[in-house]
Amino acid sequence: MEGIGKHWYKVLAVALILYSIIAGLLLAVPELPVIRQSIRNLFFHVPMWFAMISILAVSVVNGVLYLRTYRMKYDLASLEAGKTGILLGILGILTGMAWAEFAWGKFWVNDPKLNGAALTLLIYSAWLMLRSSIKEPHMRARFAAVYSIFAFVLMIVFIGILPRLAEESIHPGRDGNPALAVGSLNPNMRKVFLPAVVGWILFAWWYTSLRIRLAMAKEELNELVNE
Amino acid sequence: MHGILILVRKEFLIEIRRRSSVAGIFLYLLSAVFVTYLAFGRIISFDVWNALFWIINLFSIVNVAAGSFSAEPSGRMLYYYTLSSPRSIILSKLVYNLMMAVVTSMTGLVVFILFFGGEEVPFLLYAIGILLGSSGFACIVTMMSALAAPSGGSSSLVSVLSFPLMLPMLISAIKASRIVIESGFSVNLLLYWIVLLLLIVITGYLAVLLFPFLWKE
Repeated sequence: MEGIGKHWYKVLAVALILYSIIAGLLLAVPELPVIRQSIRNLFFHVPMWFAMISILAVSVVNGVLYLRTYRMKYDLASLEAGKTGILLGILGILTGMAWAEFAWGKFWVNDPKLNGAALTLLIYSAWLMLRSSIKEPHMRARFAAVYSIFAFVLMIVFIGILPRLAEESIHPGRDGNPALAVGSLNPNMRKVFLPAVVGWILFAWWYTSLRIRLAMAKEELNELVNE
Repeated sequence: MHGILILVRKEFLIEIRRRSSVAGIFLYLLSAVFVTYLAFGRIISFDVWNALFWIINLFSIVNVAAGSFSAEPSGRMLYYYTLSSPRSIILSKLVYNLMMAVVTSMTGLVVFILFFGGEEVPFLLYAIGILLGSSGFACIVTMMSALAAPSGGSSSLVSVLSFPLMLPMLISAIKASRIVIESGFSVNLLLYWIVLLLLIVITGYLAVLLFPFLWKE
Protein backbone atom coordinates (compact mmCIF):
# COMPACT_ATOMS: atom_id res chain seq x y z
CA MET A 1 0.00 0.00 0.00
CA GLU A 2 1.37 3.37 -0.87
CA GLY A 3 1.25 6.05 1.72
CA ILE A 4 1.45 3.52 4.54
CA GLY A 5 4.99 4.81 5.03
CA LYS A 6 4.11 7.78 7.22
CA HIS A 7 0.88 6.32 8.55
CA TRP A 8 2.36 3.17 10.03
CA TYR A 9 2.18 4.43 13.58
CA LYS A 10 -1.52 5.16 13.31
CA VAL A 11 -2.29 1.65 12.15
CA LEU A 12 -0.07 0.29 14.88
CA ALA A 13 -1.80 2.43 17.49
CA VAL A 14 -5.25 1.25 16.53
CA ALA A 15 -4.11 -2.36 16.25
CA LEU A 16 -2.41 -2.33 19.65
CA ILE A 17 -5.34 -0.71 21.41
CA LEU A 18 -7.84 -3.07 19.80
CA TYR A 19 -5.62 -5.95 20.84
CA SER A 20 -5.40 -4.66 24.38
CA ILE A 21 -9.17 -4.29 24.60
CA ILE A 22 -9.92 -7.75 23.22
CA ALA A 23 -7.11 -9.63 24.92
CA GLY A 24 -7.56 -7.55 28.05
CA LEU A 25 -11.12 -8.71 28.44
CA LEU A 26 -10.51 -12.33 27.42
CA LEU A 27 -7.14 -13.05 28.97
CA ALA A 28 -6.88 -15.15 32.08
CA VAL A 29 -5.90 -12.87 34.94
CA PRO A 30 -4.74 -13.81 38.45
CA GLU A 31 -7.71 -13.80 40.76
CA LEU A 32 -6.69 -11.42 43.54
CA PRO A 33 -8.86 -10.80 46.58
CA VAL A 34 -11.14 -7.75 46.55
CA ILE A 35 -10.28 -6.46 43.08
CA ARG A 36 -10.73 -9.79 41.26
CA GLN A 37 -11.68 -9.23 37.63
CA SER A 38 -11.44 -5.45 37.80
CA ILE A 39 -7.66 -5.86 37.63
CA ARG A 40 -8.29 -5.73 33.90
CA ASN A 41 -8.65 -1.99 34.29
CA LEU A 42 -4.87 -2.05 34.55
CA PHE A 43 -4.73 -2.37 30.77
CA PHE A 44 -6.61 0.89 30.33
CA HIS A 45 -6.11 3.09 33.36
CA VAL A 46 -2.32 2.86 33.57
CA PRO A 47 -1.55 3.20 29.83
CA MET A 48 -3.64 6.37 29.80
CA TRP A 49 -1.37 7.88 32.44
CA PHE A 50 1.76 6.86 30.58
CA ALA A 51 0.31 8.41 27.44
CA MET A 52 -0.59 11.57 29.34
CA ILE A 53 2.91 12.01 30.69
CA SER A 54 4.45 11.37 27.29
CA ILE A 55 2.17 13.87 25.57
CA LEU A 56 2.79 16.50 28.27
CA ALA A 57 6.51 15.91 27.71
CA VAL A 58 5.89 16.60 24.02
CA SER A 59 4.13 19.81 25.03
CA VAL A 60 7.06 20.98 27.16
CA VAL A 61 9.63 20.06 24.51
CA ASN A 62 7.69 22.06 21.94
CA GLY A 63 7.54 24.96 24.36
CA VAL A 64 11.30 24.87 24.74
CA LEU A 65 11.71 24.65 20.97
CA TYR A 66 9.56 27.75 20.64
CA LEU A 67 11.75 29.62 23.11
CA ARG A 68 14.81 28.69 21.11
CA THR A 69 13.50 29.38 17.61
CA TYR A 70 10.49 31.71 18.07
CA ARG A 71 8.57 29.80 15.42
CA MET A 72 4.82 29.73 16.05
CA LYS A 73 4.35 26.17 14.88
CA TYR A 74 6.02 24.94 18.08
CA ASP A 75 3.64 26.96 20.19
CA LEU A 76 0.69 25.47 18.33
CA ALA A 77 2.02 21.96 18.86
CA SER A 78 2.63 22.70 22.53
CA LEU A 79 -0.94 23.93 22.98
CA GLU A 80 -2.58 20.97 21.28
CA ALA A 81 -0.34 18.47 23.05
CA GLY A 82 -1.25 20.08 26.36
CA LYS A 83 -4.96 19.86 25.59
CA THR A 84 -4.60 16.19 24.70
CA GLY A 85 -2.73 15.68 27.94
CA ILE A 86 -5.57 17.24 29.91
CA LEU A 87 -8.07 15.01 28.11
CA LEU A 88 -6.03 11.90 28.91
CA GLY A 89 -5.72 13.04 32.50
CA ILE A 90 -9.49 13.35 32.78
CA LEU A 91 -9.92 9.90 31.26
CA GLY A 92 -7.34 8.47 33.62
CA ILE A 93 -9.08 9.96 36.62
CA LEU A 94 -12.49 8.70 35.44
CA THR A 95 -11.22 5.16 34.94
CA GLY A 96 -9.43 5.43 38.26
CA MET A 97 -12.60 6.55 40.03
CA ALA A 98 -14.59 3.69 38.54
CA TRP A 99 -11.90 1.27 39.72
CA ALA A 100 -11.73 2.92 43.14
CA GLU A 101 -15.43 2.56 43.70
CA PHE A 102 -15.11 -1.15 43.04
CA ALA A 103 -11.92 -1.82 44.94
CA TRP A 104 -12.11 0.56 47.89
CA GLY A 105 -15.78 1.47 48.05
CA LYS A 106 -15.24 5.18 47.45
CA PHE A 107 -14.73 7.28 44.36
CA TRP A 108 -11.86 9.25 45.84
CA VAL A 109 -9.50 8.87 48.77
CA ASN A 110 -6.92 11.20 50.27
CA ASP A 111 -3.86 9.61 48.73
CA PRO A 112 -0.64 11.19 47.38
CA LYS A 113 -0.91 9.67 43.90
CA LEU A 114 -4.54 10.65 43.48
CA ASN A 115 -3.70 14.13 44.71
CA GLY A 116 -0.87 14.22 42.19
CA ALA A 117 -3.29 13.35 39.41
CA ALA A 118 -5.75 16.06 40.42
CA LEU A 119 -2.88 18.50 40.77
CA THR A 120 -1.69 17.80 37.24
CA LEU A 121 -5.10 18.75 35.91
CA LEU A 122 -5.10 21.88 38.08
CA ILE A 123 -1.68 22.96 36.85
CA TYR A 124 -2.54 22.54 33.20
CA SER A 125 -5.90 24.24 33.61
CA ALA A 126 -4.03 27.19 35.11
CA TRP A 127 -1.75 27.03 32.06
CA LEU A 128 -4.77 27.31 29.76
CA MET A 129 -6.00 30.24 31.84
CA LEU A 130 -2.65 31.98 31.48
CA ARG A 131 -2.78 31.51 27.72
CA SER A 132 -6.24 33.01 27.49
CA SER A 133 -5.18 36.06 29.53
CA ILE A 134 -2.58 37.23 27.01
CA LYS A 135 -3.76 38.52 23.67
CA GLU A 136 -0.60 39.00 21.68
CA PRO A 137 0.39 35.67 20.08
CA HIS A 138 4.15 35.77 20.53
CA MET A 139 3.96 37.02 24.10
CA ARG A 140 1.39 34.36 24.85
CA ALA A 141 3.62 31.69 23.34
CA ARG A 142 6.62 32.80 25.39
CA PHE A 143 4.76 33.02 28.68
CA ALA A 144 2.94 29.76 28.11
CA ALA A 145 6.23 28.00 27.32
CA VAL A 146 7.83 29.32 30.51
CA TYR A 147 4.88 28.24 32.63
CA SER A 148 4.72 24.83 31.01
CA ILE A 149 8.37 24.25 31.96
CA PHE A 150 7.57 25.05 35.59
CA ALA A 151 4.41 22.96 35.34
CA PHE A 152 6.12 19.89 33.96
CA VAL A 153 9.08 19.94 36.33
CA LEU A 154 6.90 20.36 39.41
CA MET A 155 4.42 17.79 38.15
CA ILE A 156 7.23 15.24 37.82
CA VAL A 157 8.29 16.09 41.35
CA PHE A 158 4.78 15.67 42.64
CA ILE A 159 4.01 12.46 40.81
CA GLY A 160 7.42 10.88 41.04
CA ILE A 161 9.03 11.97 44.29
CA LEU A 162 6.36 12.69 46.86
CA PRO A 163 4.52 9.38 46.63
CA ARG A 164 7.79 7.58 47.25
CA LEU A 165 8.27 9.57 50.41
CA ALA A 166 4.78 9.00 51.71
CA GLU A 167 4.63 6.35 54.38
CA GLU A 168 1.44 4.60 53.48
CA SER A 169 -0.46 4.73 50.24
CA ILE A 170 -3.60 2.83 49.37
CA HIS A 171 -2.81 3.23 45.68
CA PRO A 172 -0.61 0.43 44.34
CA GLY A 173 3.03 0.79 43.39
CA ARG A 174 5.39 2.23 45.99
CA ASP A 175 8.81 0.74 46.39
CA GLY A 176 10.63 2.00 43.34
CA ASN A 177 7.96 2.73 40.79
CA PRO A 178 4.81 4.68 41.57
CA ALA A 179 3.07 3.24 38.55
CA LEU A 180 3.64 -0.45 38.69
CA ALA A 181 6.88 -2.35 38.87
CA VAL A 182 6.73 -4.12 35.54
CA GLY A 183 8.91 -6.91 36.83
CA SER A 184 6.38 -7.82 39.45
CA LEU A 185 3.55 -7.93 36.96
CA ASN A 186 2.15 -11.32 36.09
CA PRO A 187 3.88 -12.37 32.81
CA ASN A 188 0.51 -13.10 31.21
CA MET A 189 -0.71 -9.62 31.97
CA ARG A 190 2.56 -8.15 30.79
CA LYS A 191 1.73 -9.47 27.31
CA VAL A 192 -1.27 -7.18 27.15
CA PHE A 193 -0.03 -4.34 29.33
CA LEU A 194 3.13 -3.36 27.47
CA PRO A 195 1.52 -3.31 23.99
CA ALA A 196 -1.36 -1.31 25.51
CA VAL A 197 1.07 1.30 26.83
CA VAL A 198 2.74 1.62 23.43
CA GLY A 199 -0.63 1.72 21.69
CA TRP A 200 -2.03 4.49 23.91
CA ILE A 201 1.11 6.60 23.58
CA LEU A 202 1.02 6.31 19.78
CA PHE A 203 -2.69 7.06 19.81
CA ALA A 204 -2.11 10.19 21.89
CA TRP A 205 0.49 11.42 19.40
CA TRP A 206 -1.84 10.72 16.49
CA TYR A 207 -4.74 12.51 18.16
CA THR A 208 -2.48 15.47 18.89
CA SER A 209 -1.23 15.61 15.31
CA LEU A 210 -4.83 15.66 14.09
CA ARG A 211 -5.64 18.53 16.43
CA ILE A 212 -2.57 20.41 15.22
CA ARG A 213 -3.59 19.99 11.61
CA LEU A 214 -7.10 21.14 12.43
CA ALA A 215 -5.80 24.20 14.24
CA MET A 216 -3.45 25.06 11.36
CA ALA A 217 -6.29 24.70 8.88
CA LYS A 218 -8.45 27.02 10.97
CA GLU A 219 -5.64 29.58 11.07
CA GLU A 220 -5.21 29.47 7.30
CA LEU A 221 -8.95 29.84 6.87
CA ASN A 222 -8.95 32.87 9.17
CA GLU A 223 -6.13 34.46 7.21
CA LEU A 224 -7.91 33.87 3.90
CA VAL A 225 -11.14 35.31 5.25
CA ASN A 226 -9.41 38.36 6.66
CA GLU A 227 -7.64 39.26 3.45
CA MET B 1 26.67 40.90 42.13
CA HIS B 2 27.02 44.55 43.04
CA GLY B 3 24.14 45.36 40.71
CA ILE B 4 21.91 42.85 42.44
CA LEU B 5 22.65 44.34 45.84
CA ILE B 6 21.81 47.80 44.60
CA LEU B 7 18.52 46.55 43.21
CA VAL B 8 17.67 44.81 46.47
CA ARG B 9 18.46 47.99 48.33
CA LYS B 10 16.17 49.84 45.93
CA GLU B 11 13.32 47.45 46.74
CA PHE B 12 13.86 48.07 50.43
CA LEU B 13 13.83 51.83 50.01
CA ILE B 14 10.60 51.69 48.01
CA GLU B 15 9.09 49.54 50.74
CA ILE B 16 10.14 51.82 53.53
CA ARG B 17 8.99 54.96 51.76
CA ARG B 18 5.68 53.56 50.71
CA ARG B 19 5.06 51.64 53.90
CA SER B 20 1.81 50.32 52.48
CA SER B 21 3.03 46.79 51.90
CA VAL B 22 4.64 46.25 55.28
CA ALA B 23 1.70 47.72 57.16
CA GLY B 24 -0.68 45.84 54.89
CA ILE B 25 0.98 42.52 55.57
CA PHE B 26 1.04 43.02 59.29
CA LEU B 27 -2.60 44.05 59.27
CA TYR B 28 -3.49 41.06 57.11
CA LEU B 29 -1.73 38.68 59.49
CA LEU B 30 -3.29 40.22 62.55
CA SER B 31 -6.79 40.19 61.08
CA ALA B 32 -6.51 36.63 59.83
CA VAL B 33 -5.25 35.32 63.15
CA PHE B 34 -7.83 37.33 65.04
CA VAL B 35 -10.71 36.02 62.94
CA THR B 36 -9.38 32.51 63.49
CA TYR B 37 -9.20 33.23 67.21
CA LEU B 38 -12.78 34.41 67.28
CA ALA B 39 -13.90 31.36 65.34
CA PHE B 40 -11.96 28.76 67.30
CA GLY B 41 -11.36 30.26 70.72
CA ARG B 42 -8.91 27.62 71.82
CA ILE B 43 -7.25 25.09 69.55
CA ILE B 44 -6.75 21.76 71.21
CA SER B 45 -5.39 19.52 68.48
CA PHE B 46 -2.05 20.22 66.87
CA ASP B 47 -3.31 19.18 63.45
CA VAL B 48 -5.79 22.04 63.43
CA TRP B 49 -3.20 24.45 64.83
CA ASN B 50 -0.76 23.43 62.10
CA ALA B 51 -3.28 23.58 59.28
CA LEU B 52 -4.59 27.01 60.28
CA PHE B 53 -1.13 28.44 60.62
CA TRP B 54 -0.11 27.15 57.21
CA ILE B 55 -3.21 28.54 55.53
CA ILE B 56 -2.64 31.97 57.02
CA ASN B 57 1.07 31.83 56.23
CA LEU B 58 0.44 30.74 52.64
CA PHE B 59 -1.99 33.50 51.88
CA SER B 60 0.16 36.13 53.55
CA ILE B 61 3.17 35.21 51.47
CA VAL B 62 1.17 35.14 48.25
CA ASN B 63 -0.08 38.59 49.20
CA VAL B 64 3.45 39.85 49.83
CA ALA B 65 5.04 38.56 46.66
CA ALA B 66 2.16 38.87 44.21
CA GLY B 67 2.66 42.53 43.50
CA SER B 68 6.38 42.26 42.78
CA PHE B 69 6.15 43.07 39.13
CA SER B 70 2.97 45.01 38.74
CA ALA B 71 3.58 47.51 41.52
CA GLU B 72 5.95 49.53 39.41
CA PRO B 73 4.74 51.92 36.72
CA SER B 74 5.45 50.49 33.28
CA GLY B 75 7.81 53.21 32.20
CA ARG B 76 10.11 52.51 35.07
CA MET B 77 10.46 48.86 34.12
CA LEU B 78 11.88 49.97 30.78
CA TYR B 79 14.34 52.17 32.64
CA TYR B 80 15.56 49.24 34.77
CA TYR B 81 16.02 47.10 31.71
CA THR B 82 18.34 49.62 30.15
CA LEU B 83 20.41 49.69 33.34
CA SER B 84 20.84 46.07 34.35
CA SER B 85 20.55 42.54 33.09
CA PRO B 86 17.34 40.52 33.49
CA ARG B 87 19.22 38.11 35.73
CA SER B 88 19.98 40.89 38.19
CA ILE B 89 16.37 42.02 38.17
CA ILE B 90 14.88 38.60 38.87
CA LEU B 91 17.57 37.78 41.42
CA SER B 92 16.96 41.02 43.27
CA LYS B 93 13.20 40.40 43.34
CA LEU B 94 13.75 36.82 44.49
CA VAL B 95 16.14 37.88 47.25
CA TYR B 96 13.83 40.64 48.38
CA ASN B 97 10.76 38.41 48.41
CA LEU B 98 12.70 35.69 50.23
CA MET B 99 13.60 38.15 52.95
CA MET B 100 10.02 39.35 53.13
CA ALA B 101 8.86 35.73 53.34
CA VAL B 102 11.16 35.11 56.30
CA VAL B 103 9.92 38.24 58.07
CA THR B 104 6.27 37.51 57.28
CA SER B 105 6.35 33.88 58.33
CA MET B 106 8.24 34.52 61.56
CA THR B 107 5.94 37.39 62.43
CA GLY B 108 2.99 35.17 61.62
CA LEU B 109 4.34 32.42 63.84
CA VAL B 110 4.87 34.81 66.74
CA VAL B 111 1.41 36.31 66.41
CA PHE B 112 -0.11 32.85 66.13
CA ILE B 113 1.66 31.63 69.23
CA LEU B 114 0.53 34.79 71.00
CA PHE B 115 -3.11 34.00 70.34
CA PHE B 116 -3.13 30.24 70.46
CA GLY B 117 -0.15 29.30 72.54
CA GLY B 118 2.46 26.86 71.37
CA GLU B 119 4.37 25.47 74.31
CA GLU B 120 4.28 21.89 73.04
CA VAL B 121 5.75 22.85 69.68
CA PRO B 122 9.55 22.46 69.42
CA PHE B 123 10.16 25.96 68.18
CA LEU B 124 13.44 25.62 66.32
CA LEU B 125 12.52 22.50 64.37
CA TYR B 126 9.13 23.91 63.50
CA ALA B 127 10.60 27.26 62.47
CA ILE B 128 13.07 25.64 60.08
CA GLY B 129 10.20 23.90 58.28
CA ILE B 130 8.26 27.18 58.16
CA LEU B 131 11.22 29.07 56.73
CA LEU B 132 11.90 26.46 54.06
CA GLY B 133 8.28 26.29 53.00
CA SER B 134 7.78 30.03 52.98
CA SER B 135 10.93 30.60 50.94
CA GLY B 136 9.67 28.13 48.38
CA PHE B 137 6.33 29.92 48.14
CA ALA B 138 8.08 33.25 47.69
CA CYS B 139 10.17 31.91 44.78
CA ILE B 140 7.14 30.57 42.95
CA VAL B 141 4.92 33.58 43.51
CA THR B 142 7.67 35.96 42.38
CA MET B 143 7.95 34.13 39.08
CA MET B 144 4.19 33.89 38.64
CA SER B 145 3.90 37.58 39.34
CA ALA B 146 6.25 38.16 36.41
CA LEU B 147 4.10 35.90 34.23
CA ALA B 148 0.91 37.70 35.17
CA ALA B 149 2.35 41.21 34.82
CA PRO B 150 1.37 41.89 31.17
CA SER B 151 -2.28 41.18 31.86
CA GLY B 152 -2.38 43.76 34.61
CA GLY B 153 -0.93 41.57 37.33
CA SER B 154 -4.35 40.68 38.69
CA SER B 155 -3.85 38.95 42.00
CA SER B 156 -6.41 36.31 41.11
CA LEU B 157 -4.38 35.25 38.08
CA VAL B 158 -1.21 35.16 40.18
CA SER B 159 -2.99 33.04 42.78
CA VAL B 160 -4.42 30.65 40.20
CA LEU B 161 -1.01 30.22 38.59
CA SER B 162 0.88 29.79 41.84
CA PHE B 163 -1.33 27.53 43.93
CA PRO B 164 -0.96 24.33 41.93
CA LEU B 165 2.80 24.83 41.76
CA MET B 166 3.04 25.49 45.49
CA LEU B 167 1.14 22.37 46.49
CA PRO B 168 4.16 20.01 46.48
CA MET B 169 5.99 22.39 48.80
CA LEU B 170 2.93 22.87 50.97
CA ILE B 171 2.42 19.15 51.37
CA SER B 172 6.07 18.52 52.19
CA ALA B 173 6.09 21.38 54.67
CA ILE B 174 2.93 20.20 56.41
CA LYS B 175 4.27 16.66 56.60
CA ALA B 176 7.51 17.99 58.07
CA SER B 177 5.54 19.95 60.68
CA ARG B 178 3.61 16.80 61.60
CA ILE B 179 6.84 14.87 62.08
CA VAL B 180 8.20 17.66 64.26
CA ILE B 181 5.34 17.40 66.69
CA GLU B 182 5.04 13.63 66.59
CA SER B 183 8.60 12.47 66.88
CA GLY B 184 10.93 15.44 66.93
CA PHE B 185 14.06 15.28 64.86
CA SER B 186 14.44 12.22 62.66
CA VAL B 187 15.87 11.10 59.35
CA ASN B 188 12.41 11.39 57.81
CA LEU B 189 12.26 15.02 58.88
CA LEU B 190 15.64 15.69 57.33
CA LEU B 191 14.41 14.05 54.14
CA TYR B 192 11.47 16.43 53.91
CA TRP B 193 13.71 19.40 54.59
CA ILE B 194 16.00 18.27 51.79
CA VAL B 195 12.99 17.95 49.46
CA LEU B 196 11.92 21.48 50.36
CA LEU B 197 15.44 22.80 49.83
CA LEU B 198 15.60 21.00 46.49
CA LEU B 199 12.30 22.53 45.43
CA ILE B 200 13.53 26.00 46.36
CA VAL B 201 16.72 25.47 44.36
CA ILE B 202 14.84 24.09 41.35
CA THR B 203 12.25 26.86 41.24
CA GLY B 204 14.85 29.58 41.89
CA TYR B 205 17.08 28.22 39.16
CA LEU B 206 14.19 27.92 36.67
CA ALA B 207 13.08 31.45 37.53
CA VAL B 208 16.51 32.93 36.87
CA LEU B 209 16.91 30.82 33.74
CA LEU B 210 13.54 31.66 32.21
CA PHE B 211 12.95 35.25 33.30
CA PRO B 212 15.05 36.72 30.44
CA PHE B 213 12.39 35.38 28.07
CA LEU B 214 9.75 37.46 29.81
CA TRP B 215 11.51 40.71 30.44
CA LYS B 216 11.11 42.27 27.04
CA GLU B 217 7.81 43.83 27.95
